[in-house]
Amino acid sequence: MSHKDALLRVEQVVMRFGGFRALDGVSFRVAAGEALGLLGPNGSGKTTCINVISGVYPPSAGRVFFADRDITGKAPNLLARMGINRTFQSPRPFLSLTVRENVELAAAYGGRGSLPMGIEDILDFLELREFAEKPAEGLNSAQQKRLDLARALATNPRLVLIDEIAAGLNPLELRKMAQCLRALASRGIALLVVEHLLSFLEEVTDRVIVLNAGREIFEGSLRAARHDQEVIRVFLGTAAHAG
Amino acid sequence: MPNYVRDFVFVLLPLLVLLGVLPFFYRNELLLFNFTIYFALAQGLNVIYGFTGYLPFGYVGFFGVGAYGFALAIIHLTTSPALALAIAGLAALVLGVILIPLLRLSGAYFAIANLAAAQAVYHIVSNPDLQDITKGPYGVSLANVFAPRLSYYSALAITALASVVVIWFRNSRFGLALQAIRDDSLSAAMAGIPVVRQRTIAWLLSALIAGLTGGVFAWHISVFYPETAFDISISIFALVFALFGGATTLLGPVIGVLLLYGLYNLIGITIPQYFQLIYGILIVVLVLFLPQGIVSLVSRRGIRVP
Repeated sequence: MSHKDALLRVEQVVMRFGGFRALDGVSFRVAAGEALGLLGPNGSGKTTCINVISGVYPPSAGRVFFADRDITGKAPNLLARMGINRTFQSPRPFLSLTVRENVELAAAYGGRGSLPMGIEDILDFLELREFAEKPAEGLNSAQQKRLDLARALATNPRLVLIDEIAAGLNPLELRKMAQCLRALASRGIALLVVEHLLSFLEEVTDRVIVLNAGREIFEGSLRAARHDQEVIRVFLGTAAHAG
Repeated sequence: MPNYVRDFVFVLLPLLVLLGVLPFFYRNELLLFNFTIYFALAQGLNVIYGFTGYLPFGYVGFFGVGAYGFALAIIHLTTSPALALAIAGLAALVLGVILIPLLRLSGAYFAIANLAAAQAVYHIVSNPDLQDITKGPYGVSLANVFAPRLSYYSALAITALASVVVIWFRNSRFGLALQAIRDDSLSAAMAGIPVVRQRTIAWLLSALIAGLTGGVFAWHISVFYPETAFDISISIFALVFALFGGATTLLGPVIGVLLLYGLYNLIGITIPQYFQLIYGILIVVLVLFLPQGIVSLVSRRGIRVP
């Protein structure tokens, strides 16, 4: 991918927590409308990577560019207005607000111009319409994950960072979620998908990056990753067969 | 009828009318004034606690600074009470701005730091070395501007202002965003909400309400000491009243003040030896069985409480 084609460029990002290097010189690119998988064993730095990109904390070193603008360390609310949004590993909706209020608030504050999908379309797309007037605290975990995604979509994003959205979903919910993510990519929304479940990830994308101990150890197709010796050693040894 | 009109017509207007006419029929004007002060303070505390989740144990700091801002403006600048009230509000706003960094803390850490800040201001004000400016621990006398009726209605106007802020928060996107921040500040930021700015506005509005209330308190009682204006029980009462009735609503703090401050005065007069026991039991029962306040008896059934 050329420098020009990249919507997101992560360049030599280092994230230190005290003496621990959670990210150690990670670099990769995501093109507009592309879905990129981010793999790695527990503690490899996947969520840290998403947190750095989404402005939760500034990196210790390195730069992050979005649409050729340096966004390193920018606040999450500014990034949302630029077109970057995310979901969370444990869903984090506004529990005291209704589902509709959750989505409308994101559209009102984070929305960029007119939404290609209206609020109702988003609620339908993520099968949340029937709960629209209910407080988010009444939703189950899978529904709350969809609400996280609905809220991200309401900001009219160009890039969504998806953090382990498949965890805890049943097979039917997994299939539907994979369909949703494919549909988003086909609409031109870039996705960076952190995931443990390979069978889910391969439904969404084929290009992956594998992290281990904060370093990138592989970039390429998921199929190739399954046969890469280092990847197998650090992560896929058991998961490849299980997934 | 829009919700904000309903809140105004069915809660605020009757309260203002009631407090407006009562001095003509009821002689204990100081008691009425104290009720009015607590209506304002409970709503002011509701603005910051109910809508952002910050628990300001040192809320009395703004009240005290407002009281002294008013008094010092009268004593040193010989301003009119109206201008002195504006200075009282401004003094509380200045303290609010100084304390903005505390908003980086959360939970008990914020509550403790806020309490410590209020105590620090109290010790500065009561310092005998500052007697020429603040009158130190010896208190101030504002007998030359004493005007109980006028100060009472000024307190009523401040109660109205505090209530209007709560009505605005209850029925606006701004207030909804504050509740979103209270629920989850990171999610709120990812929804594009400018978390720091929104919190700061709520914080300063809450400080302004307490400062104005402190100013009008100084005007009404006219003689007071640092211990009076910075009395921690003012924070505790306002907090308990708001929580007892139900924070995040307009009606909750009103009910809280009516019931608890009413009971406080009733017990204090009739059986003062049991006052702390009865009051303590009541609060424990509330926390155990109605943590969302009395209004939750209705709101949990899906009925909108003003």
